[in-house]
Amino acid sequence: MVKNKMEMKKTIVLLIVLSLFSPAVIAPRAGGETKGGPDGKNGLSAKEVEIQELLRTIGEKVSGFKSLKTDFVQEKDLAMFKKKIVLRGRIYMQKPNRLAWHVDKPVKYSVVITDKAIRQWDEDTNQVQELSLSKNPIFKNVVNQLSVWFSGEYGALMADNTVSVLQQHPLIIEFVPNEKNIARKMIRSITITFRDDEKYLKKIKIHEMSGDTTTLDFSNTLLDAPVENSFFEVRRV
Amino acid sequence: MKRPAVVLCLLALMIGCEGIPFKKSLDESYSSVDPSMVRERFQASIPERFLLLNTLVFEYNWKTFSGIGFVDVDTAERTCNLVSINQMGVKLFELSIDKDSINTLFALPEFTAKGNFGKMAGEDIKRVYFDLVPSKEAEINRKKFSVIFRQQEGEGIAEYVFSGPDQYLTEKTYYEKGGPVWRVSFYEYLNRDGKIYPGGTILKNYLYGYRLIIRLKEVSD
Repeated sequence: MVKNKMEMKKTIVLLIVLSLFSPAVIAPRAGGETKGGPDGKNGLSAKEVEIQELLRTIGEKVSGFKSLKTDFVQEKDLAMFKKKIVLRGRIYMQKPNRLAWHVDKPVKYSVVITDKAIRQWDEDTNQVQELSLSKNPIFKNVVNQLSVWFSGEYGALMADNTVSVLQQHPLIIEFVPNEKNIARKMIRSITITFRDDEKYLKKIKIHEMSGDTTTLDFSNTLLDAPVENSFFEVRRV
Repeated sequence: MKRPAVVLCLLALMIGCEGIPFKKSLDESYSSVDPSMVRERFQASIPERFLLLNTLVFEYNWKTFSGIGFVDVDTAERTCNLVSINQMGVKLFELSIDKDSINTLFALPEFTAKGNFGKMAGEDIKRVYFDLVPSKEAEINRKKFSVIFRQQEGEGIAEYVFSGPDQYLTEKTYYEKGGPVWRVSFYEYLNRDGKIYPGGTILKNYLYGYRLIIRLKEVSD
């Protein structure tokens, strides 16, 4: 059934990127259509220029931290089921290249991604699996995508998405994969809600083509709070 | 001298890998147990319709893979919907089972690359959740600490073992040509609103040499 676990993990991480973090892979259209006439600078419409500027401004605000701690609740609303699956956990990030994703409920699971390796552990197998980044270009790509998302380099998103501003306060931006985007087959749209101070994300909502919806709500987010090495340990007792 | 030591180590390792991560039920004398009552009580205790959140560990060829399973079962209608996600919430596969068919609604290519994944997974799900009560016509064999029902099922023989103080189903094994094809073992039953659910389930497929370990996390109506 699962013949090649390494390949599986690669795909999983790639999909995570595509589905959770990859607005970076998508290109936006602002408030209207990115296919607007070339009446702005660089062949972009005025609306597109406006959105590009907004993404740049937001990116600057979001990128202004060295470390991050946040709790999250992930809800998966599956079209086939009446009830949602709810996962709870914590994310730690330390720039330039350390990210830890810990799930606490309903199962304990941790993955730590650095510039060199990915390590993951779960309580059921109680095994730590380590994957080298240098030997896995695909993971390198994943880390790049993660860093784009978390560091606020949102300008890169314009190429593969249609971007719309759904609301100004709090700021809500919708990314719809365009025809160039490989995520288009799976993802209908990704909506990002920013905190009131616009320094970080409050919510990510992903609408899939299947009718499933995934929502990630961030809470207790602390920017530039001290981070401990233990936050980046995968094995838990 | 070294070779026996290596063999012993390998054996120990193999046994360790086949360890059971659940508590076995305590031995209880079955000398005065009425087998038909065991069967009837168990039938009355198991739920007909349920929604479970589980964690899954799949062991095959010295490799392990883990994930989360969400399963909606109707035993009366013999229908079941199952989705499996990884611990970061990424969907791995989704199946829908009814009386006559098993439909793979979604599966990552890694699952479908070799063989008919949907059929295999669907059959395993049916083994775990359906047909857990032997028929009234089953052959009965009362042992010191258990009662065993045997009956013809398809081309083989199914054996149901009830044991422990609660007299619940602890093992169902399907045999063909005298050898086991698959076995489902049930552990640590929980009682929720008068219905029982195994807290731990292990399916062992002897034909393909894999093991599926299921841990119950949540029960919904």
